[in-house]
Amino acid sequence: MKTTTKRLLRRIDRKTVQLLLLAVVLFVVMIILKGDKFLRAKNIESMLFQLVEPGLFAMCIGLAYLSKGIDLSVVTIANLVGVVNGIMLRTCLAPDGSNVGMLLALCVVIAVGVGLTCGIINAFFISNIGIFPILVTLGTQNLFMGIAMMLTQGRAEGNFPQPLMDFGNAMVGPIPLLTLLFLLLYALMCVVVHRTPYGRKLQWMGSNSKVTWYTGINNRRITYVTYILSGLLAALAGLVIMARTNSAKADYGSTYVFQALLTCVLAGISPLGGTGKYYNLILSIITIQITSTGFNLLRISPLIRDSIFGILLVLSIFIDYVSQTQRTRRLNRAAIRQLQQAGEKEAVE
Amino acid sequence: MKTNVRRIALKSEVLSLLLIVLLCIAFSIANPAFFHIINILDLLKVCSYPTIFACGVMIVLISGGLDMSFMWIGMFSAYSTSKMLSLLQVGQGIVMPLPVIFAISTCIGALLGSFNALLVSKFRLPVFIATLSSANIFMGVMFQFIGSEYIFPAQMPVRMIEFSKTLLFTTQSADGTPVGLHASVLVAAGVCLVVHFIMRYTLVGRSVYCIGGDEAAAERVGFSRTRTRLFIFMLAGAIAGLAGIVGVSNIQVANPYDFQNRELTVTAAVVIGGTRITGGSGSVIGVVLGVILTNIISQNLVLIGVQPEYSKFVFGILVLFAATVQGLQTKLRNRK
Amino acid sequence: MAEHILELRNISKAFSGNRVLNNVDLIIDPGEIVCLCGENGSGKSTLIKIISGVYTFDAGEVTINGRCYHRLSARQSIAEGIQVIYQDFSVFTNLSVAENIAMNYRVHNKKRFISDRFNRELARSALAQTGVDLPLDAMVEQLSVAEKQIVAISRAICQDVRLIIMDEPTTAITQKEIEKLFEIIRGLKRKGIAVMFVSHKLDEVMAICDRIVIIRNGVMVVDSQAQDFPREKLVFFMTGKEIEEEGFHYAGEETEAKPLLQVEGLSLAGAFTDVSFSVRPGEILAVTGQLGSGRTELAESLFGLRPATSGTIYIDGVETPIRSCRDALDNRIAYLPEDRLSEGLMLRRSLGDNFSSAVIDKLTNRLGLVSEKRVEELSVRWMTDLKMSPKHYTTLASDFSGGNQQRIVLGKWLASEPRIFVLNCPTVGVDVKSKSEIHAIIRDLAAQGLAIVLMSDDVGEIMASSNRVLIMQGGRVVFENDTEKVSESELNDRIIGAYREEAVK
Repeated sequence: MKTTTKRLLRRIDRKTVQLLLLAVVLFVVMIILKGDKFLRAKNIESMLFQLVEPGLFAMCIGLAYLSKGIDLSVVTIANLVGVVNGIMLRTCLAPDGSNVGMLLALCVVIAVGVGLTCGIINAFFISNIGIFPILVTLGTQNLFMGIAMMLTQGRAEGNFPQPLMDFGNAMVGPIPLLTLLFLLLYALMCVVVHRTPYGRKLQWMGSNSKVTWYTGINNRRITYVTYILSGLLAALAGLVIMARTNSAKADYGSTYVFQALLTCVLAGISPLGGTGKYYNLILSIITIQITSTGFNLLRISPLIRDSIFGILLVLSIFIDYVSQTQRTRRLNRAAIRQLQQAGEKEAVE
Repeated sequence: MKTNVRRIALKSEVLSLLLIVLLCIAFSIANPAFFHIINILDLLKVCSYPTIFACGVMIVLISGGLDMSFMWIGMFSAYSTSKMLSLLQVGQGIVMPLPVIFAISTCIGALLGSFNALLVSKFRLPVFIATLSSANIFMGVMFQFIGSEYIFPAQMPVRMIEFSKTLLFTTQSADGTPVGLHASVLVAAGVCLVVHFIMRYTLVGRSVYCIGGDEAAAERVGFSRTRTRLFIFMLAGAIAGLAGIVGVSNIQVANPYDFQNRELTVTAAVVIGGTRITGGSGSVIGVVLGVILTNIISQNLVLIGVQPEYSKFVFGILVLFAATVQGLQTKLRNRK
Repeated sequence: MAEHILELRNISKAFSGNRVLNNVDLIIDPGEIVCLCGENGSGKSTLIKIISGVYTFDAGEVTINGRCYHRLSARQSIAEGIQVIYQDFSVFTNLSVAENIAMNYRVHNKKRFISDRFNRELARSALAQTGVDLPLDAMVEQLSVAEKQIVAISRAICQDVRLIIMDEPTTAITQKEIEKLFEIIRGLKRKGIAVMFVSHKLDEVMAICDRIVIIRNGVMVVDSQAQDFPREKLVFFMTGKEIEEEGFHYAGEETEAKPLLQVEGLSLAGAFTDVSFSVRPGEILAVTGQLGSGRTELAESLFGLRPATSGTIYIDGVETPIRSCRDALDNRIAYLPEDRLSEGLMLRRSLGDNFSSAVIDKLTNRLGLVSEKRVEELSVRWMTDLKMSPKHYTTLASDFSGGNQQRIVLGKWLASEPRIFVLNCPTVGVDVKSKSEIHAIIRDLAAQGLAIVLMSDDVGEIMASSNRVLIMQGGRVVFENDTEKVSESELNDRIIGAYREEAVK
């Protein structure tokens, strides 16, 4: 009995425990400080709403991180999707709105198409030409934004058809439909990363791409799949942004990239590749959402709110560092003791 | 002879130089006013403080890390300096001389840089993550404890405003307005010279290349990792602090949101200028060329009638192109 | 000699839970060439790092040039004239030759400002001492491995050096280059500089060293003059056990089995040309040759990593083009790469991950998801089959010793049930005991009917575990014969291209 629990405990990731503790502590702190407002259904609902977009972007970056890459272009892919769809809706929507259903289906098709294309472009430069992902996606970030800007002349697209808005604001019981779909997608991606052959290969490639090459694993294909998945997830985020904000703009949400980068690091997914558990991502998304909403309720300016990511991150890394050094110190002390004992024994002999 | 050509072609700075020449030709055909002295002087002015920033970015990049915090270090230093001095000026009537102003901002920058060094060498964080989070922290601290409101020219330290209006070697242009080299260009040139000297001719500068090339080997030779990192980040921070105050003076308004989200643009210029993103290689000359190149594009597209919206697109293409050429150069070099 | 250069007394060191060195004593005199031998993990690299001040020691004292240290820093060690040339040479590939050579001098003598002319003069004089001419302005990344080594040596001698420690200096360079290296070292010896070799290829350094020191499990077990050292006892001293390897005998000689793998006129531009051979099931074909002979490229071609540009490969008599790893895997060809640590093993991942990495696509359940249970079963199976000490399958690969790590890589490929197994230097950097066990595994695989191609530069290994041997030189096959019909010394001579027919007569 004892061994099974021990085994189970060993299987739980240290980071999961840390993040869970952090989230709970923050939750409790918020209840103490602003319990009345924080626990109100309206607030919880808006928190659930808000975590969808950053959550999707964090999922993209998390995938890229695992492959020892990075994808800075995700937000611009989302905006590109929104802009293209916006223009399509503006020009094609019949005055009486009769073709709404078809057009909304077309929106999804366009999103998939744009996400796929953008992902392929990223993967091509990274894998076929061999440029560092950070440079490639820095370039494509500007490229995609440039295309969106050219299409809109810098204006915002908006006034989307009502059914899209209804979809964006729909509720399933107490939970927003979008959040529910996000959670489903997240669960699916967790399975993909942790339990499919592709996911395993992705992590292996991130931890040592030379070894996977010598093992006959097709690194190029893995890179393509990764950046295409990232592009598709970003495209979905684009649809979510449309439905939630009723607008699309070429330079919307530029802080999302940094937020997503930090969310992943907070979840223990290292940009150095291969390490970290994808399933921890949701905990760090929630943690950040709690702090961000909390700061809002405490009437702290949104600009300072952004700095909380940095502080949270340094804090979590500090905890990691301390626990790590404590462990090595303990091990070393044990070793020295052993050495001394051995020396004494030899002396006796 | 052939090997010489090849060696030159493989030099990383050549690409940006070539592109600059090509662009100059293209722009001067499209717009005869391109080579006009006003246009050139204006370009130099616009390039001045990004070049200073870029020098700092280059130092960190050579050591093998991507700095994401320099813009906020620059803004933090410049804004807090401006605010402090404007309070002194308005309240006590004390007018600080310009060198003191610059020195204060530079010192604040160095101090913030040492925080980066702490994160990187003590907690062993990758530079990218460390500076990303420190950038956030600097931003938060600034907005919380120093302020977030604009400081308008009326309240700005007088010397800074004077500095922004200083032109050197002035002549009269056709319509009678004075034309000259902006003083900030001189500061930028000075920084470039100093950084070039440090990186090229001092041991500590070379140690940055060593750490970027092979950290373990650098330690074996006898460089201290902690001390070198401290040097790298303090110098980069100081440079960012100086760049910030020069930038704020140029604009004449201390707007805390001004440098937001421009990290990657400057970084791209540094990389286009031939600094290897994996570290260990890069030069000030290349960086200057990179900054000039990116600014020629963003400045002149509008002049020849291209919508400003297109500049992002062109910039993206440029980054991809430069990176592709660099990738091919590396491949060639390895093939030998 | 008036004074020892280096004197270690009762040095002990514990490291992350392991006792690595225990009361080690060592004395080195000026002009002496000492060879330090030991298996992997015996503590020899820790000892070097203690002498060079990279690690602190827990107990004991170090006396250098008469000065006694209880704590030694890297700077102090360098100041006392101790220089280490690491296995990777620790040169800066992004800097020029001249700057690399001058770097140590400048750091040590606190030359804060740099002039290229000074660098160059210093480099020129240091290179002159080694008698090698290198372009001073070339980037080190453009040099060959042997040239990098020269840079590292020149860097060491350009200041007042008294002891040079060389970590495995002969592994990455060819026979000719080794001769050259020895010449340089003899020159240093004449100047009174002591040299300590750290190596496990004793045969090579025996020719030059004055004294042999062997370390085992952190304890010094031998300290003897080279001429008094019983060479045949080397393995015993290093492992503490007598190991005898049985030779390999091909069982299928009479049955006339058809070749499983047959290669005809295989060429890869710039690597090898017109290579032909065949391997029958149960055979072990050894392919040898110096560095740069094209054998590694040949191995990688067979596995589809660098597809051959011309020629044909027959498997089971059927022409089978191998254009990618996928092709190779589909034909059940496995390849154990040369460098275990960077090419074969994912150090930071678990045992289960490593074992399953070649066959992960097959370890799925009905939903197409990876079955953790099957990964565990696979890991347990190969751990037992390869006689590894049982550990949980989530243990990290980095927690295993070199020999066991190589077994993990072997297991990874055996899990894919190969018919043809190409092994590239399977026992480099593996301790003597594991080495003979790995040989036993390879022979056992052949007995099970696999066709094995063994790339190796270890003549002993070829003699013990192959039935046919092929020598490559400059990308061409220059010699092929049954292993039994060649003597060890003939093989040695043939490999370096120094074999003459008349010498036998």
